[in-house]
Amino acid sequence: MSKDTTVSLEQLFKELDEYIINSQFKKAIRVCNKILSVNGNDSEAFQCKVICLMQLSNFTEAIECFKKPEQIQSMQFEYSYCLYSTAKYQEALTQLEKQSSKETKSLELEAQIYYKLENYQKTISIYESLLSKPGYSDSIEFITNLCAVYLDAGKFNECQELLNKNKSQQTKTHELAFNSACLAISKNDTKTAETQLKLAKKICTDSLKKDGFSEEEIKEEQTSIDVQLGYVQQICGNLEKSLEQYQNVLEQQVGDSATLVATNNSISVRSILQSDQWSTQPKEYTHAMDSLKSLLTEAESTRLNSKQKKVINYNLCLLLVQLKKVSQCEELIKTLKSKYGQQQQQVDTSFVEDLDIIQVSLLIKEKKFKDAEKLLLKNNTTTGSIKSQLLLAQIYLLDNNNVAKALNVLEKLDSSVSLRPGIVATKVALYEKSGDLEKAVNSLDDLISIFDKQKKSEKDEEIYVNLLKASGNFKLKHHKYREASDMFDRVLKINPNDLIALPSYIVATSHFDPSLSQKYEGKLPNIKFESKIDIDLIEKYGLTFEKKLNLNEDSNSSSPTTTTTTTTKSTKPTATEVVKIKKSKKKLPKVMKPNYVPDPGRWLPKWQRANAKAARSKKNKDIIKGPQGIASASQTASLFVQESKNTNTNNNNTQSSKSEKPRNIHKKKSKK
Amino acid sequence: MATNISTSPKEDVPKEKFHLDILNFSQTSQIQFGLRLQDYKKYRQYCSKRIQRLRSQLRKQYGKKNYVNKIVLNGGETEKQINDVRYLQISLLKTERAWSYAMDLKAQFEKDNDSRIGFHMNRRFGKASRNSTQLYELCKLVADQYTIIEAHAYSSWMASSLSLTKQDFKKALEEINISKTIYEKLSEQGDHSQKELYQKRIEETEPIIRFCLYNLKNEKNTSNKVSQNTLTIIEQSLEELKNQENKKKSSTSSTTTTTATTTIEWKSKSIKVDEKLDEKLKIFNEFKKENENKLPKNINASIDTTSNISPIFNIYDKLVYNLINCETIVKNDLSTLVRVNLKNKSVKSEIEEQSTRILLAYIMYHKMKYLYERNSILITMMQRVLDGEKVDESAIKKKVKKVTWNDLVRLSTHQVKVYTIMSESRDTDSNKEIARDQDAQLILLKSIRLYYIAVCLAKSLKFSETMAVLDRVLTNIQNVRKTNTKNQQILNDTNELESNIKKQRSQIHANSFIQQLSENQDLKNQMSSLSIGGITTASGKSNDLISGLDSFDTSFLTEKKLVQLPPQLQPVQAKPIFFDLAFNSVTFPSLDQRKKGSSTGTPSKGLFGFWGRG
Repeated sequence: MSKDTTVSLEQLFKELDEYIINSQFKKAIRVCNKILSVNGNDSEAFQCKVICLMQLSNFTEAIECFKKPEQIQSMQFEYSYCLYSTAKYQEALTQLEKQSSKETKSLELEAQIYYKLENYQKTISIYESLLSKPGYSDSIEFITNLCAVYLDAGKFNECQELLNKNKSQQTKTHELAFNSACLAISKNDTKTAETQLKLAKKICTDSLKKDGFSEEEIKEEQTSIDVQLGYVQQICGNLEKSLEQYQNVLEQQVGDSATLVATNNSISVRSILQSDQWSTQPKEYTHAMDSLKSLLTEAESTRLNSKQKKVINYNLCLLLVQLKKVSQCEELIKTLKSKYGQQQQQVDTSFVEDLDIIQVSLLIKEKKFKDAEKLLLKNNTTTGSIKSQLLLAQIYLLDNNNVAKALNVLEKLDSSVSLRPGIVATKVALYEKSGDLEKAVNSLDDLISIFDKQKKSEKDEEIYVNLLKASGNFKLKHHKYREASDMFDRVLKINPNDLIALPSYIVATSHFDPSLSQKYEGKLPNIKFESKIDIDLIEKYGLTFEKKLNLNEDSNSSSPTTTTTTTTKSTKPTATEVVKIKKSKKKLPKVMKPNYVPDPGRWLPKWQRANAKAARSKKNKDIIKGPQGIASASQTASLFVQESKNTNTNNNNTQSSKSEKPRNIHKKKSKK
Repeated sequence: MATNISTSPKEDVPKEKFHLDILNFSQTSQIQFGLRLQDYKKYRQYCSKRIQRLRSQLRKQYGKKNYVNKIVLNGGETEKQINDVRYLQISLLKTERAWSYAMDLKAQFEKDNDSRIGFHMNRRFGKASRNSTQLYELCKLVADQYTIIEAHAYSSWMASSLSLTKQDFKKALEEINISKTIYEKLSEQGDHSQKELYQKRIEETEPIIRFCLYNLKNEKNTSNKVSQNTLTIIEQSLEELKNQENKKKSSTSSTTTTTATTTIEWKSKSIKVDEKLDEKLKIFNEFKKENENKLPKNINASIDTTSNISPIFNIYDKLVYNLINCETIVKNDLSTLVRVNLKNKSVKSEIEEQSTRILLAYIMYHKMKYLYERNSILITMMQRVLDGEKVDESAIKKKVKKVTWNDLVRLSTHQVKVYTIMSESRDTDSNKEIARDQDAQLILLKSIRLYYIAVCLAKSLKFSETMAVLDRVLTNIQNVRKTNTKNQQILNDTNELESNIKKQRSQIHANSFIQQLSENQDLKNQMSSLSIGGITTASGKSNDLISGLDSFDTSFLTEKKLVQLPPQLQPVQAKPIFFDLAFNSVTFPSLDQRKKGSSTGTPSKGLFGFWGRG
């Protein structure tokens, strides 16, 4: 019987060795189990079993194999690694610390555990100590890992130095090229990042083709690169292209961390591109929120680091704001503050400020400006970010348009920020509203003087010229023509052929020195004006000459004059009617003879007829003309009559005595 | 016209006394019905128709039932019978009818020299005189004192015309002097609106008096001295007696009229003011006396507009308010007079209309004067605001919240209208220099208005229209200088306007050049906006002011958006690649020893050899 067992063990070990060489780990495990069933204390077989399970990534079963402390002691490294792989980082660390003397592989594992725990400083210290040892400085994988740690720790300068040392290596492996692209993204150098990512993609396709990978496997390998390309395009503003990138990654349905990132980023892009649709349809927000919540489940959260989780939670808060779920949003903000607020102060104060900004936006919607102000003032505004301070200024503007307080906030900004052109423009506008023009002009002049002192790059030169023009236009607007002309004069000194500053300079100088403006006016080309313009129409109707509707208004305004004209017209036709009256013709009797002239004295008594005719006619003429006024001709005629009377005094006396008698006769008749 | 028409029952004795404007009535009838054309026949027919109409109204026509004997000059009975003013009108119209017939016959007598027509004429004149005497007697009974006096003058006039036809020059002279004296007294003391009528009658009496005196002188030479002396003494005594009567009567009439009547002299005429308007004018004058010192004396460009403008505007507004109250009263009177004249014209109402128009011109002149001064101050202040100088802003903010050039255009347009009305309503002067100044000032105001229009057009980038309007302004300035005005202020304003136009010309040239560049500049702006956009998005900040920190732009301030709220969702970077280096250290133990152990055992070889053999 003993002979049979020894023979079988030897044979089993041969099989085991063959299976291990051929990487047939499942079969190898069966053989190990057979050996252990025969001899439970066989250490070699036990080691082989554990390692085979690790090769199959079946770390939980591997941990279950460790039943005796002796087994753990003999395989401490492997046991720690299994704990590390199952995300039991603290137990792994305690297990590693039990070792008195550490090997290099133990140090490597410790570094990796600290990286997972996001304690990047310890990782860096371990890796830097390993750099001095031989073999590590030449390892591309080691350099890649060190680069990654530097990036996550935020030490971009050290990372840059490391990459500069290993420039030649970037072109060989796509992993290092990818990490260098990540560095460029962190530095906001989007162009370099884009080129690096494209290079990484190219290297990846070339190298994997050589190794014999299929196209699908190559695509799976490229998901990180594609997601990062989408991110870069999103930052540059090419939202549609970035959305395409994310959609392509999501369609592959690879369950790695890049896919999770793509989910978040595609939601953020769509919220911007389709914001109009989303505002009308709140279902989109609920879909987005559900998909983000699925990212934060425990099963998925191990693939994401804390930064990524923060951002996703932040986006959740924003979606809750959009859905107007105020209470849920506030609760989530509280939990996030308690969770992240107490950690690493430098990093997390900005996150807390972002959460405060969300809370302030909720308060502003409810128009609780004082509460919003208090919330922002709790944080130190001097050390706060630009965003929170400008938000405070905005709150003051929204709350009764309090310009003075907003200006105080802007004046308290840091000197590096307060001299930005946008900030100065805002100050100038607010000073203008509050009526303090001197401070507005002084702030512009201060900014221009700072640019004068500095050495200028091409970009700063352009900004400087724009500032001079803006300052000149501002001073023109507020009637400070001499200062405005100085501004434009500086622009013309820099660029004599500036086509905008020259006319503006002419406008400014024309107010105080017309002759100087006319000199410069000669530089401008002659402009043809339209000659066919109805000036009388402009003079008649003023500024409303182009509008027909205003003609009616003018006619309405002129209506009292028309009424007066109607009254005058109404009087005129009566006068004309009087003039137009015609005389009616006399109707003569039919019996009348045309040429018959009767004797005029036929009715008189005989004693009155012939003798008194001529004398009476003369007197009667004088009498007739008297009461109606005497013309010059009649006066002369009367004079002649009187002279004739003087010569014939006797005749007049007799005639007058005779004329008295018939009156008596008439009187008698009237009495009867 | 006839007033106080009342129909009381016959039994009661009327306490009211009738009033009849005899001269106005007769003159109005004569003018309207034929006598402008010396058509005495038509006038006579009109009088007949009217008498018939009045009798039918009074139901005093001939017939079986309503037959009444002619009115007998018996005091008691006559006074009872006359219960309407239209009885007096009948007497007056009978006189007018006889007179017109006499005048018609007179014209024929001049043509035909027929003695029968002369006799008929004498009878008509006699009848006219009798009817006028009857009117006078009736008025003594039932009419007021004013009407009695006027009737006396009228009857004297008719008696004188009769005496002239009879060649009784003494009596004619006496009667015409009575009439003249009465009309002179009435023109001084009587109804103001009929003053012109009386003065015309006085003018008509002059040739008649001269004619009578001429004839009487001849008789003096021929007749006895005693008889002549007695005649002259009698004439003088008669004149004195009638003058005394006239004085008494005129004094009684003056007591009845309103005392302390105020008159306004305007356009070389003195006009009586009625009670309502007088009260308002008193209020206006009192306010004017109190506050006129506070107003600026000279409204020039050098006026101090930095302080104390609001009370000045308040004073102007109150003055204009008081004048508007006066204006409404006068316009109401004028509209009623115009309405009356449309229906039934008379000489009196026409004269009243003219005088009311003159009153309106007086009020409008002063109203427009104060508006002009106020608007001048306001225009000066607004122009200073636009030039950036300090001004008493409280005064302007009551008028306009924010001053723009359009406000200046509106005010200057109003100013031109105000000045034209003021110059039309101005008190007439024969001075040529004042007329020149008015013309120059009006052209200057129009020029200033066009200048403001040009500035507004330049603001709205219509440069062609602006240049055309400025050319028109320059021609207007030449016209102002051609009027040869000596007013220094107008010349100074003209020079100032010309210098402003030169400034505006160069500005317009420059601005139009900028506008032509705007198309090219838009392309440049697009390029610069792309680059700025790239920079801002690279920084990862999407807020409005923060995104525009490097650009001098304040467009976001209109929406009060310094920071974008709520913030946008943020993207995340992918993780950098981190190799699992420790896994490389996991290695299998060596199994060589276990293989050596197997070499010692022969059965294993045998088994393997067995399979090999098989």
